[in-house]
This record gives sequence, structure tokens and C-alpha cells, in this order.
Amino acid sequence: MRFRWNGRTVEARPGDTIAIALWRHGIRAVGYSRKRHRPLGAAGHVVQGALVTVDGRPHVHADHTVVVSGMEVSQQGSWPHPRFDLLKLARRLPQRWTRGGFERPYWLRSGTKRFELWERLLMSLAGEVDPPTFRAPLPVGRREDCDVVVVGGGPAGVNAANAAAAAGQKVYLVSRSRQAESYASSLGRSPSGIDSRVVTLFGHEAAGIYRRGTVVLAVPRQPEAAASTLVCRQLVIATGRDSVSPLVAGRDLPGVLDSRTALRWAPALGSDLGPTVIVGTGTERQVADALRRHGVEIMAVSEASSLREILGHDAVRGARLNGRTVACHSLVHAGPWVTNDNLAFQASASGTLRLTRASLPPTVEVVGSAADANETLTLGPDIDRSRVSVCACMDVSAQEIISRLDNGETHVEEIKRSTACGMGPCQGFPCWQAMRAVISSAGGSLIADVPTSRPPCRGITVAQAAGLDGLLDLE
Amino acid sequence: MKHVATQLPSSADIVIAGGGIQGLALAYNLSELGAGRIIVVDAGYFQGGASGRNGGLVRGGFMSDAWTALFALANRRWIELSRRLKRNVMYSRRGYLMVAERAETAGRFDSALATHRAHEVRSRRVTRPELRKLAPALDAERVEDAVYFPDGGVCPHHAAMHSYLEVCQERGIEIHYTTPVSAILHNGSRVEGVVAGGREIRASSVVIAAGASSNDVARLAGVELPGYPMRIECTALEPTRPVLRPAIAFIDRLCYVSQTARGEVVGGAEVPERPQATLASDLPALTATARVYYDMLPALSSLRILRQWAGLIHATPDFGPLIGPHPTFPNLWVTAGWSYGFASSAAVGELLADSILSGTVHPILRPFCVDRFDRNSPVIEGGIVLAVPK
Repeated sequence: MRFRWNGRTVEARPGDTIAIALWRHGIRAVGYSRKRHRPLGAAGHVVQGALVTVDGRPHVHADHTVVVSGMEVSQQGSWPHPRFDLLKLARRLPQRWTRGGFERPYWLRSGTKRFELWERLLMSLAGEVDPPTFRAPLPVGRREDCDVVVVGGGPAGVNAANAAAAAGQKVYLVSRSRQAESYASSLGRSPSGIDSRVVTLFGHEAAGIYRRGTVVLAVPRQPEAAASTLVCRQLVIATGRDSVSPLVAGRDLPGVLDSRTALRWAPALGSDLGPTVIVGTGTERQVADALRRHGVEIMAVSEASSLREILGHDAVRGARLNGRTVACHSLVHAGPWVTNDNLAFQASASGTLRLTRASLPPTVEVVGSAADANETLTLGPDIDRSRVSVCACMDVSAQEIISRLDNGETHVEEIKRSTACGMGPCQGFPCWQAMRAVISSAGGSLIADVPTSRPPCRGITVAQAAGLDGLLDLE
Repeated sequence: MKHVATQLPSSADIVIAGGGIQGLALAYNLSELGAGRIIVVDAGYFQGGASGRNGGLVRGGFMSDAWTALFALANRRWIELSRRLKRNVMYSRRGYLMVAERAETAGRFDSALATHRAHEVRSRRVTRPELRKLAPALDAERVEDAVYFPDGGVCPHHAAMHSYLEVCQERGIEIHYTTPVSAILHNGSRVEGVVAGGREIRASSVVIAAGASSNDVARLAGVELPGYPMRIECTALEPTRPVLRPAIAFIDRLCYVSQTARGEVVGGAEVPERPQATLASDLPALTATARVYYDMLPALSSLRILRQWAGLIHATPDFGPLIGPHPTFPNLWVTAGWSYGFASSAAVGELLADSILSGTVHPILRPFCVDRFDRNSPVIEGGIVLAVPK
């Protein structure tokens, strides 16, 4: 089957996501960062790199969307055309010109005609895509009342859901994956199976937790499908941990994949994943073995701390590992593993001057590896700060964070606002973890260590949210 | 800009409790008028309160005389503020549309337009074809009537806040964040200073500009302000190229919306919940906002909501601000009760500074006096976008 990418025809196999089909076609750079127009790929949690326009609908996730024959897919954020893109020149701008969020009051003062033109230009550059011209159908949402909601379809989530179902409770299991225990299975472990009484919502994001964990917003990945409001008495958060790309230059180049994404893609891509270097914090050999079983050529397996730099201009072409340089096409990281605290924060946080995390309500539980301590993200002393990206979407480098500290900013919320770090579609994860590591490497002590998480995480469309209106009584 | 606090002094001429836009605009204007040593203390972080959480919308006209007089001046000041502060506040004069969907609401526009004229606010009715040109994203079929303010617009709050902060610091005003006021010193009929950050600061005047915490601060002097804190919520959508030129208020849906220079559409609909004194957000505000966008701005329907957040306002019985000296202490000044505090700051800072230094409340501020409810003279305003709590 065929689809169109920037006007050119690309072959795809049935079941391929857009990202996989493009990769097989040699295209790893799917999206761009918003300010410096650096290439980004579909790489797990850095959502910005996976956003494309499909048949006039902007910001579609290339790695969640299965190719349909005849689809028109185009790259976002280019001008005048993806194949003749003058905005690539932004990469040559001095870094200090592109510091700060988009709305930085650097040049033209308001109150003049020139300012209005400048503002429009900014909006066009920052806006990346033309707005859609159609009204999407309204997917009428559902409200489900139940005893327990489990978020996360890994072994810990499945166990918790099965136990609750066995005790006669009505259980909903919400999982981002298309099936349960997918990562464990891809590493060769046999799945334990889900009790048939558990109602499963696979391919759904638990986008928001409200009212101290008693309301869960479950959003399907297909933007045209209806979302659900789950009202529960108990909430189990079993979202596991995510591997965060090590803090080195090139950490968000297209071709850098977290081990989950690599193992999910390996059955479809096999040797097309290309020569691969794997780094990790203990599970890298396991991941390497699993990838080899799919025919992936492994060039090196190493500890994450030995990685000094990921090489490449438009995509990965090598890795520098403690003194030796290895050529590769993919760099897979399996650690350091860090918990995305977003949902637990939403379930517990309160405050009037700032939301602060309190202890979890008694009806909310974090289980499995999500409850384990984070592995340490470190920024080595010899690593060039200006080349380490902290927030891929908004082009924030480690150097920019340090310059805010040097400027006397004393609160992470201020640094968030003045850099826009974490304000893209990824909702601050993993960039606020990286920001925290950069600040601690600079010896900075700040008021609060990461900014406050906000719902919805990874998005719900306006139509999906409108379809839920009126389902919940007001507080 | 460094806003690292130096040590707190033991005395000042004026202490302002609250480093939001009201407090900073007042501090700047006081220093313009030569007020002496000014200290600003704030319990939260820079831009942590409603001044860093609002939609940044500015319009000059409301339905009542009192509100229109104040906001007409504020809108004029916003337009020239960059020049005045010698900074870029990024006020974007892109127009402001007030949209009615119900005939009953539209029926009130005639008298509103007359009020605007009386205060020299440029505003006019727009026809449907004109509306289609002005805001192509709007579903004009659903609009009963609309009033357009060509001088209204939006201002990104960080640009305005950073501008005021820099200008204040340049003038030697000391600003201390994460420094809560823990006591107000008073003696008979006068306040004599505050205890902030554990240190006693003697002052000849104290100003409460503490947003939703204003009442907590007033209680430290043993007095009450009318009203209570109340959460309102806001959302931001994924960025697109320009889709909305003017800012829009949907009066019948209690919803306001605009597009930022970052391409994100920012706005929120109010829901009539019981007042919630928390920054945690809730689902109904999100779905109600989405419902308004879906109905009125169909081009937004397939965009994702990037994030949602809440801010706290101080709601008074008539939803109007409390401005002026406190009836118990003539040197305890108040600028509180704000729900449109960002938009008004450009005027209030100036008028209140003048009032404090002259000892006479400016006529434009008088209707909003702190004890108007005791005297049974609330300010009735029908053009505000706020849900009446259940």
C-alpha cells in the first residue's frame, strides 16, 4: 500500500504506523523543534518529533497512527514547503537569539505598526501549521462508574486489576499500549493474562486525574473516538518508569529511541532498524538480546554512563562511548529509568499559592516500578552544556537553564516560564527531570525542584472534551 | 533581571503586600510621584498568582458607568505602556469582540454602546458579514449580535510583569517574593507597619494587593474584606498559525478566548461551582470550555488541549473590585476583589498612587470603595464574564 509524504509516494506494509513506514523508507526526521527547527524523530515520550499533518488534520501522532492507503501526510513547521524549507536557516542563529519562549519582548516595542507585523510573523512561525478548516464530528463521551481504575497495562497493573476483579470489584484498566504487558512480553517474559471481568481500555491515555483520584479522564489515541470519564472509589497508578535519554549532545536526534519504542518497532522493522548501539542501566543486554531475535544488528552494548555524545547532524550516525566511536543508525537507551509523576501529582496536589504535592489520598496507590526510586540522571562535568538539549519541543539547552540561574532566578516555576521548558505537548516529562539534573549539576538550589504538573497529559481534542460536557456534577 | 531579595529593611514609606501586577503597577506609579522608600512583599513566587495565570484580555468598555470609566482609562494606558515603561509589554491591539448568542443579551448592547460613547471608548456593532471578515473562525450563524472594540486586545502577562518588575527594580523599589506578611502592626486608628519574612518593617502606609489572599492579609489587621477566594480555570490548545485575530468574550457562555503570539489558543469558560479555594483544576471547566469552542469556533475542534490550569480570584458580592482606604484604618489601602485585575492595572496603579499620596480617593475609583456593601451601594455590572457560584 502507498501513502504520500510531503507530496511524494511512500510504500507501507499493512499495520505500519506512519513513523515505522517512514523509517523503513529512510526517513527518521519526522518533525522539527519549534524555535531552532532542529530535526526530531518519533522517539517515545518526546511527542513534538512525531507530530504530522494527516489529511488536513494537524498535530497527528505519527507513531500512533496506522497508515491508510492514500493518506496525505506532511511535515509541520516548514515554510514555504517541506521540500524547500527556508526555516532550516534558524539552526544557524546564535543560541542566545532563540532563548526564552516565543513571546519574548526582545525587539520591537508594542504600540507601533511594526510590532503588530512582527507579532503576526511570530505567531506564524510558532504556530507551525495552518489551522484546520473543518468542524470535527462530536464523539459523544461516556461516564462509567466503577470501584477501581488501574492506570497502566504492565505486569503490576494487570496484577492489581486481576486482584480487584477477583475480589468482586468492578475494574477498569486504562493502558497506553495496544495490549497488556507489551514491554515485558517483548523482553521474552510470558504474560500473566487479564481476568475477563476487567474492563480494558487499551490505546487510551489516562490524560487527567481529578478530585483527589476519584475521576479519571481516559482518552483514546484516535482523535475521532469518544473519551470517557471514569468515576471510581479507588485508583491504582501502575504507569511504570520511562527511560530518559542520557544528558549528552545529540540526545534528541532522530534515531534515538527508548527501549520500549525500539522493541515495539523491532518486529515490523527487523534489520531495517539499522546498526544499533544500546546503552542502559542494567537491562541493556536483555534489550540487545531481544532486538537480535528480530534480526537487529547490534554494534555495541554499554552502560549509559559511558555514553559521551550521540553523533549526527540530521539523524543519528554514531555514538561516542568512553574513548571509542561506534557508527550506528539507531541509539537505544534502556535507562536511566524515571517515573513520570504527573498522575500521582494530580491526585494529591493542593494549594493556593502553588500546587504542592501532599501525601496520596488513602484511596490512591502507586504500585510496581512506578513506586521505585528514580535512577539518577547526571550531566557529566566535561559535557558541553550548549549542546545538551533539555526540552526538545521548545529548544531549551542546558546552557539556557544555567543562564537563568546565573540571572538570579530562584524558582523553577520562573525558569519554566522564562524558557518555556516543558510547555510543549509532552507536558514536562521528561524535560523537567532533565532540567532538575542540570540545575543540580550547576550546584543550584532552587525553591521547588520541578514545576507543577497539569492535566491533560498528552492531550484530548476539543471535540473529545466537548463530548464529555455535562457528565460530571459540579463541585 | 535579578529579583534576588536583598535583606528586608526595618522601615519604609509604603509597604505593598502583593507583588502581582496590581502591586507592581502601584509601586511603579508611586515612585513616579516620588513616594519615597517602597517595599513590595509577596508570599508566592514571581507571576505565581493570578497575574501569571490570566488570559491577558483587555477591553475598554463594560455595561456600567463605573466599570467603563475605569477600563476606558486602562485600555488607553495599555496602548502607550511600552513607551511609558521604556520596555516592551507586548500589548497587542488586535481588537476585542463581545459576542451575544441570546436576544436578551444583545438587547443590552444599545445602552452599553451609549455608555462607551460617553467615556470615549471606541466600540461598534458589527454585522454578520463584517464578523465573518473580522473573525473567520467564528461560527457567525450562532451569533445574535456582537460589539467590537478596535482598541481592545491581549497582553502576554509575562511581558507586562517582567516590564514592571524591571522598571521597579531600576527605581530602587525592593521586591521580595516568597516573603509572606505574618502580622500587620496597628495602633488605634492607624497601621504602623508589617512583619514580613520574620522582620518588622515600620511604614507610614500599608497596601493590600494580595489577590485571592487579600482577606487573609486584612485579617492580620483584625479587619475583614467582603468576598472570598474563588478558582477560575484556563486552557491552552496546540499551536497553529493565526486563526483568531481579535480576542473574544462569549457573554452568554461565560467564556473568553484569544490566540497568543506562540500560536496557542488560550481561554476558559466559567462553571457555576461552589467557590473552590484551590489551584487544582477540575474536569467540568475543561469540558465546558471545549463545548464553547466546539460550537462557536469549529476550526479548533480537532486541536488538542495542551494543558489546563486554575487561578484564584477574590470574588466580592458584586464581583467588583475593592479600592481605597480601609474604613477602619485610613492608612491601610486596598486594591483587591479583582477578577479583571490584570486589565485594570494600567489605570489602577496610577489612580491609586495619586490617591494614596494626596489622601483623596480619585473620582474614578470612588464607586469601588471598600465599605460600599455596608452602605448598600454595590456596583451593578452586567458585562462581566464570571459564573455566579451555586
